[in-house]
Amino acid sequence: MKEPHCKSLSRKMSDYIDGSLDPKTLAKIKSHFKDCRPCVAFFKTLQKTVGALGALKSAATLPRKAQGGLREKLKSLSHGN
Amino acid sequence: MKESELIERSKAGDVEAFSQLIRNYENKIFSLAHHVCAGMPSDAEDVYQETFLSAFKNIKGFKNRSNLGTWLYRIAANLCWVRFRKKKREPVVSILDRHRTDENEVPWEFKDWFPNPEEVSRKKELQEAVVKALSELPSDYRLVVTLRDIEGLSAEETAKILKLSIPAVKSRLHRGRIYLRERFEEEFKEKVK
Ligand SMILES: [Zn+2]
Repeated sequence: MKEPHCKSLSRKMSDYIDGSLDPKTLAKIKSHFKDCRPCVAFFKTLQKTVGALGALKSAATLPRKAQGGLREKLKSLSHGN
Repeated sequence: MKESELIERSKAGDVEAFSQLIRNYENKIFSLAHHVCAGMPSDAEDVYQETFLSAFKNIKGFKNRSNLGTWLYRIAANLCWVRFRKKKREPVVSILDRHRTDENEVPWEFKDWFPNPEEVSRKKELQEAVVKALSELPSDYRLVVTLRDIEGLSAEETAKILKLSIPAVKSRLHRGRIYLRERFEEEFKEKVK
């Protein structure tokens, strides 16, 4: 990550991860990766960061208490007004 | 009963129909609230309840051609946002700049101290670390990161929910990810090695 080139490519890495990079830039990054280990390291850890976030998807369980509470409030709304 | 029918009945004030209607969305909305209100469980429950109470009150204004999920996410996102503004415990955007980010200090060797997604879903302790780092982001960024990377919505859907342009979504997402990468590096280097 020493060259200005690395810096400008690092801005494209999210698009790379999301598969929304244009073919020209993609080819540029891939060829840059061949001789720039810091950029590869940066990319891999960024990719893992995104993966770690994705792993939270089912981590939150809706508490039954809150679900029941909502049903009660909805009922009182429809009766009350 | 079809969703469109449940929507019609809900518009007429039928609570039973509405309860059935929201079944497919409850977990998603709670998950959003949980991650955006990271570290404040009661806030997440409040946002979840308020979202559906507000949706029930306003469902008459819901246009049948729109996507119900997007509409509900938008209500929830607004509630989260208002909450953070009110509490004024909002980290400022400059924390994103403070970090060395894309400067010079990326390790020369790729060290495999970064947890794998499987590890994160297995270990509560890692999940907590991720949630903690997430909670440090300004809410505008946290919303984008949560919708895109946790909930797995597309950039287009996220833009619709947050009423942002797609380039704005992409830029917030990238900056948010860069910040989190940095924080994970600090956090996990200690623990794993
Ligand atoms: Zn490079």
